Amino acid sequence: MSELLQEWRHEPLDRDAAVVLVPIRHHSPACARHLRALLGAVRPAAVLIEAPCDAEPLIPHLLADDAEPPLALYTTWIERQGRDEPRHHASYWPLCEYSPEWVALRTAAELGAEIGFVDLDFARMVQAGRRGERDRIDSLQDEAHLQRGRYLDALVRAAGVRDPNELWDHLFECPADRDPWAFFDGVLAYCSASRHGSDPAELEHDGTLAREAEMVRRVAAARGRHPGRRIVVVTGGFHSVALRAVDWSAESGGPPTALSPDSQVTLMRYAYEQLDRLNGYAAGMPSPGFYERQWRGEAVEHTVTAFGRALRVLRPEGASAADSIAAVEQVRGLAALRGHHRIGRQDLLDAITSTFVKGSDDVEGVAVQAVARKLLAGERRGRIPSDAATPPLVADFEAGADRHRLSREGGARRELVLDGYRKAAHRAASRFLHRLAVLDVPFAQKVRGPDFARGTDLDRIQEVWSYAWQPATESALIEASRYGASLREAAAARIGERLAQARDGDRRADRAAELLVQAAVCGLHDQLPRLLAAVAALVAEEGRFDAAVAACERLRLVAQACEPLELHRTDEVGKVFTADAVLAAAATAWQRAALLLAEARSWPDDEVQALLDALADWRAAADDVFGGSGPFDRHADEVLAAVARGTEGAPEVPGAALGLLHGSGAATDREVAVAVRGRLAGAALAGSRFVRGLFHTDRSAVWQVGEVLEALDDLLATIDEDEFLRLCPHLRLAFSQLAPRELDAVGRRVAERAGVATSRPLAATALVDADTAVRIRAVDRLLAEELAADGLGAWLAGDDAPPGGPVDG
Amino acid sequence: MTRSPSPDVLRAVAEQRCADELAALRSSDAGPRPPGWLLSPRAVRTFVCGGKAGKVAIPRKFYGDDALVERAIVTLAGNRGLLLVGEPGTAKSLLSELLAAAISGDSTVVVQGSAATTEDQIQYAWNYALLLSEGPSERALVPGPFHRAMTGGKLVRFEEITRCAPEVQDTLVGVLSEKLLAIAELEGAAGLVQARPGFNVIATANLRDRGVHEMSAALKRRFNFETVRPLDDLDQEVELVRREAGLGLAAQGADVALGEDVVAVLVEAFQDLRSGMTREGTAVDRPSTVVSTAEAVSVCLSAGLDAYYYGDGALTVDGVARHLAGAVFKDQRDDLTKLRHYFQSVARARAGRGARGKLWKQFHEARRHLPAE
Ligand SMILES: Nc1ncnc2c1ncn2[C@@H]1O[C@H](COP(=O)(O)OP(=O)(O)O)[C@@H](O)[C@H]1O
Ligand SMILES: [Mg+2]
Repeated sequence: MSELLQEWRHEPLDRDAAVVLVPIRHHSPACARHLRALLGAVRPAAVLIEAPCDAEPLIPHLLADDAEPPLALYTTWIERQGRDEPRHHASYWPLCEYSPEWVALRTAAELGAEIGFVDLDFARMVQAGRRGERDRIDSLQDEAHLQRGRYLDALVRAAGVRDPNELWDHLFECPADRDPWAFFDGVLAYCSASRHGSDPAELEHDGTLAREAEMVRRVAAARGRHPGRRIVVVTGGFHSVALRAVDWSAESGGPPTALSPDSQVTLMRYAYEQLDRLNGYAAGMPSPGFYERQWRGEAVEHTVTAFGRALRVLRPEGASAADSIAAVEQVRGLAALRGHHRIGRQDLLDAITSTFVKGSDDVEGVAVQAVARKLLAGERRGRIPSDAATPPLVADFEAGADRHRLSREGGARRELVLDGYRKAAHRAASRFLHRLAVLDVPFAQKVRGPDFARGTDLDRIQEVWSYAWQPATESALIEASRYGASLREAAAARIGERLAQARDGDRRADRAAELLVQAAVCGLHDQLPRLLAAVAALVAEEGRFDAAVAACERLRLVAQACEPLELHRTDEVGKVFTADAVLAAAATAWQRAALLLAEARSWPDDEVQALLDALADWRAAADDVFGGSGPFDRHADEVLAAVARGTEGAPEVPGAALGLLHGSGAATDREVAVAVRGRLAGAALAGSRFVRGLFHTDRSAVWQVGEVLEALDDLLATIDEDEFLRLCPHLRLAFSQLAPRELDAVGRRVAERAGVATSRPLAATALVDADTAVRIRAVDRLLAEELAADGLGAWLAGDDAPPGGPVDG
Repeated sequence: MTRSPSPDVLRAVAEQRCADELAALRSSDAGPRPPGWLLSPRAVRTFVCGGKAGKVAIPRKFYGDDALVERAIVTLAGNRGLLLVGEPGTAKSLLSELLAAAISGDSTVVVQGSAATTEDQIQYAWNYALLLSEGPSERALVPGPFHRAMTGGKLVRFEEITRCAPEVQDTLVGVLSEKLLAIAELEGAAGLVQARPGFNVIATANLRDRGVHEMSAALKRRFNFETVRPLDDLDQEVELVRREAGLGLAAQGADVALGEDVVAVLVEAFQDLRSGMTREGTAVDRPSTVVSTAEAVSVCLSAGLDAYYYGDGALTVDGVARHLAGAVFKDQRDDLTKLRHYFQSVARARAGRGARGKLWKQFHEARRHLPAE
């Protein structure tokens, strides 16, 4: 044991104890090797492992001959909490071929020892205070406890290493193998430091103490089953420190606790990249690819050569054989200098840094590091044994795919055309695929077809999908199984979770309405009533005009698509859910938008485009939502008239309001002409933006109201070049909304007015693009000014100024 | 560092300054030594990063990245040269001096690279009087640093290698790959200088400076590159700055109290400006002036002298701030604006808060010393 740990060296492990506590670090090959030796020496009656006890039924599968790591236990629990949305918890417990737990399982089986899992079941871990992450699935083997603490920092410094992972390697992975007892004495000393530095209140709070109590209970029960025989208990070293204090003769195992019906453990195949990422978060050992090479005793030459090959793909000119030779020499030298019997992960990374990076580490070094990280992470994927049951959600997927005659073989993507309007079977297949999409399972993509959420392509009758099974399909399905055992159930739960997030988050009614659409296309009709209620609640307090309009649009489309979505049949399940109910909600959203519009004092500049679109949608919806009843048209026009008179904020919005009024006949040509002239006269820039808004909602204004063009033409005649450059972008936006033919007409009119003949259609003239034109003009002018300032103005005057002529400085 | 102040020279070289330490390391060193080395790699590391030689305590001399030091040592024992790259003031030259002193016992075999460096300053030249009278002979040869290092089995230091013209740089390619120096003018065996074990090159360079030349790919292949970064550990840098400034002041006979907290305020300000980010996570504009550890030392030194002659013999935050503005940032208008902003925002936010809140308040108030815009 290194002298660094002397301070924490206390009573060594009792070589003759009846209960042998073996402290490990997860995914440590050194722990695995020494554990194998220790088990061989002790030959225990039982080997008990820190793993969720509800995974015990999977032990035979872990022992199957054709089980291939990396694998993971995937634990899920649905926490039901009264009337609120249930919470879906999930975690991994991964294993690779050099994991001490994997080796413990296999060795115990060889020795004929009983195998048990002694941690709390996942549901009770959560209840005891275990907090998962919100946005990703975390690891049950979290080792953050081992990575913090002042003592550890001091150790890191004293050893001259960079971080706790390097320290661990230096102390445990790199030395030559030794007597396993002495090895685990060292591990225990290492873990003692962090255990003694941790706060008991926090350990109580995060469920650690409850988990250890369960371990004690289960170990004691095993003792009862094997009187007079020895038992080995393999746990993270952090727990071993606490378990050492237990007086086993005073403990008795309690009765097994009942498991929660809402929890599940599945065996899934895992991949090194996943493990590398997971352990990155969980403060566990990184780089499984590297440690597997170490575990297998691979010569460092192989690793370095593999690296050189990988780098050459990226950097063909670099990464020569000479570099690889130098790297091998370097890694050996570093290991020798650091006293490493085995090459450490950092030794390898350091050697790669020294020999392959030809420049500064933050420029030339970045790509090299990335390749190194990838190589060290590795690419291995595991395989679950043939006798393991298929996880329910995967089974449901397979059954569904077979029912809909979708190939489950990998390879090229296939195309699928679904005619959901006419064929019930196609409708069902479409729902199946939409459910997968909601669960983010990579399988199928919709290429064409009506999009009820966006309101596009609604006239299309068919949906076209492209799909292919891939390995990620299965892992995503297993991850999604925390939401339920069938696709139907899981998709509903996922939508429910998103709804809860929308409620707790930005509370936008349109986002909730989108979920309603999703539920409808997934055929989750029983979800619709509560989704509709939630949308209605959010609409009632929506504060954004465009969000209220968007919510109204979504609802309107759902109501319209009543037939293809089969909404008319929901009466059987959801009592209140009918097309009428949806339409009523849409009307409420419309009115909410009207209120927001009427009350708005100013329009933010940076949201102009969204507001213009929303304004047009809102006006257009008035007829649909209210079945073309006049009062709402009138109401809309009153509100718009007030907006059109407004002078605060972005001037495009009043312009667009006026356009809408003109379009519906509520404003006369005369009124439009007066408004445009007035606005342009008031401020040319704001006026131009007003015109852009006007054209956005009412292109026809440009000829129906001849005076609009005249007013613009007059304006252009009076302003100077500077002013023109300022207005140009806005005028461009205004006119770019016209169709080419309309532009031609405009051109002709202006030409007539100016008394010039146009031979060519204006739109076809190579205007390149107006922004460029403006910039060219600006450069021209700057150049002219500069030249003039330098006394070279004559250069631009014409041919008679000699370019090389005398100039004064 | 055991420094025996030598009155005769302004600055003793490392092997003189640390003669006692090197002797202690040599006598306690049991590790295997690469051919031509005076110390084992591990003892070299101890010399640079600190530790023990038997009973003798060896102080740390290079702060920060120990792994980099290890990589450098291992590289020098191998086939390739070592190239230390990084911003000015990151102790590249210091590290190269220390390594040469520990490994070869001689840090004085140096080429100072510049645009004017020529091949004969690197390899060998002639005594022209002898050359004319005797023709080319070994007697007429004036060995340059590379010649000396190769025949002596030593490390040669090449400072600022990228300042040299590319064709001058490229004369190293042959030397480094063949470990052979051909003297065309001499006949027979005398015309071939073969490097003795222990020979290698430590070069330093600043890759991003203006006025540097890109190295040829052929030359790059002969080097292992190591990037030296500015210190980012506050405690280490404070310790270093206090020690270096203390030695400088002592050399001038000025007895000044360098309060740890005062130095810490300066160093933290430097680290903020260097990284562009404070520990509170506020972004700050990085000045174009180099705010290196070496600059921090020189600010402390001048503020210390100021305190000794005109103050009450203790370094103050106010004095530090005055010299900071005067010395470091005096010529750069933009940098002064950035510094002013730093005083206004970061220093103000820290004023009165935390353990050094009082000092930060003084620092904030010292902004009046900044030249007006
Ligand atoms: N990490 C460090 N360790 C020790 N001294 C340092 C460090 N960084 C800067 N210094 C100080 O800065 C001085 C200048 O360093 P120098 O070697 O000239 O830098 P460079 O050659 O990189 O420009 C050193 O002599 C030392 O006092
Ligand atoms: Mg230097």
